Amino acid sequence: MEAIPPGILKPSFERRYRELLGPDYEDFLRFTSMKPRRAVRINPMKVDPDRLISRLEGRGWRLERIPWYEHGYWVVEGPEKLGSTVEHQLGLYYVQEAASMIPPVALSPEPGESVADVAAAPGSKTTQMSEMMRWRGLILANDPDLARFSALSSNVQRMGCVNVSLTSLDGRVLPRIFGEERFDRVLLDAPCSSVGEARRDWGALKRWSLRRVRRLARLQEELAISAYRLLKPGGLMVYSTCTLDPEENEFVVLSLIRRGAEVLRPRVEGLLFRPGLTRWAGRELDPSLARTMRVLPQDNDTMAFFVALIRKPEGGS
Amino acid sequence: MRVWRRASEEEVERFLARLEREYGISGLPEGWVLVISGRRRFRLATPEAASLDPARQVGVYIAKETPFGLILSVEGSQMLGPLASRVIEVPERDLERWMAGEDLEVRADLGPGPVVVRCGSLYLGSGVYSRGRLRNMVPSARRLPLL
Repeated sequence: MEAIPPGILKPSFERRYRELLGPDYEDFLRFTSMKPRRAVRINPMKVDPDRLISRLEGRGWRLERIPWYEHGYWVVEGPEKLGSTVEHQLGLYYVQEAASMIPPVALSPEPGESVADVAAAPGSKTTQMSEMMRWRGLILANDPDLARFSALSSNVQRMGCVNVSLTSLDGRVLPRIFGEERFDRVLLDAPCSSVGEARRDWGALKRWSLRRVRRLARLQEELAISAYRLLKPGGLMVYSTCTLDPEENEFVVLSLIRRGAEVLRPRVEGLLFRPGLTRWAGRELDPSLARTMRVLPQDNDTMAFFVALIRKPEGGS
Repeated sequence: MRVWRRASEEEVERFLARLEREYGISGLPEGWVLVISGRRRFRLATPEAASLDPARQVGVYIAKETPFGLILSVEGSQMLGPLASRVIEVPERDLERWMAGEDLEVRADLGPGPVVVRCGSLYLGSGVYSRGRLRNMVPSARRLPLL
């Protein structure tokens, strides 16, 4: 374990996160200072998972199953560079942090459906959903950032996702380009202040500011409304971030509730989490926000995540 | 900008004929369609993915036309390789050398031309075989760092 170096945590961050997490704050900091556990996702469309596990174990790997995704494994022992093996280059597994496997599980896309992944790069969730859909149907995987688009394209290729089409557009224009109410399911894993990423890189803590949180929250709300417009009536949407600030999470979901969205409790087996906030800064929020999930780093020894499962009612706007 | 289009029936027939002639592969896996992109590159996609417009890229790159013949990508070998008759098996001890981009000396009862390369149940892209030498066609982006 490494201590967070002095000067990284801003007083405004400490004040806010102490208020947000209360007695859990010290544990949050303790886990945030630790490197995340390494994890991989096996690609069952390319290889028989049991066969790959035997092969890797024969090379000295030790794997521990992640409870909430059947093909996810923590790498207890393995090579230093998980991305420099034959099996990785062949697309037999994907290096992916365990908490990042939660949003696709919450969305649970089915083979043959149409899915939009509005902010898809670098493609971990796109490729996971493609496998869950058994390479059938359609995933529109979009990312406006051209540098990140290249990583998305490479990962979709390496994992063999024949049901994926890529676009590089501002997520806010997607309903205008592809039409309203076009997709059965939509994932918006929104760009965020990434406090959860601090376990990998303390830069996220250095960059954090309330001003940045508020700026991102405006973008997130616009993206969420756009994503919701893409969704067919009766369809399901997941909104997720890897941060814990309420403005980037519950308040964004609140903007969808105001448009008629219904918040459902996701089914994610074996995951420990806290209910979403229904009160913040002296303000009462919609009680259905308690069905959203706040995953703290200490809950499952993962990165922090927020996940909301949303349904557009039949006849909703 | 869109740089791909769904292959016409005639183009599919031509592609299938080349697969048969060069690899002994008969037919494409059911449920996917052939897409042509860029300069003589072929992709496979679900019909739904190949119908999304506009899209910059659809499905997975499986093969390209080269002066050596039709070269299968790693995914092309994984998707079509099990249907191929022109296959060279490399031993486990040569697996990392092959994936690092090295050519290999092999013994095979095959005429010269492109082949699917396999190690047990793992399909490793394609190579060009000629007189005991297997030329490596694994693209640089998919190679292991040099040993």
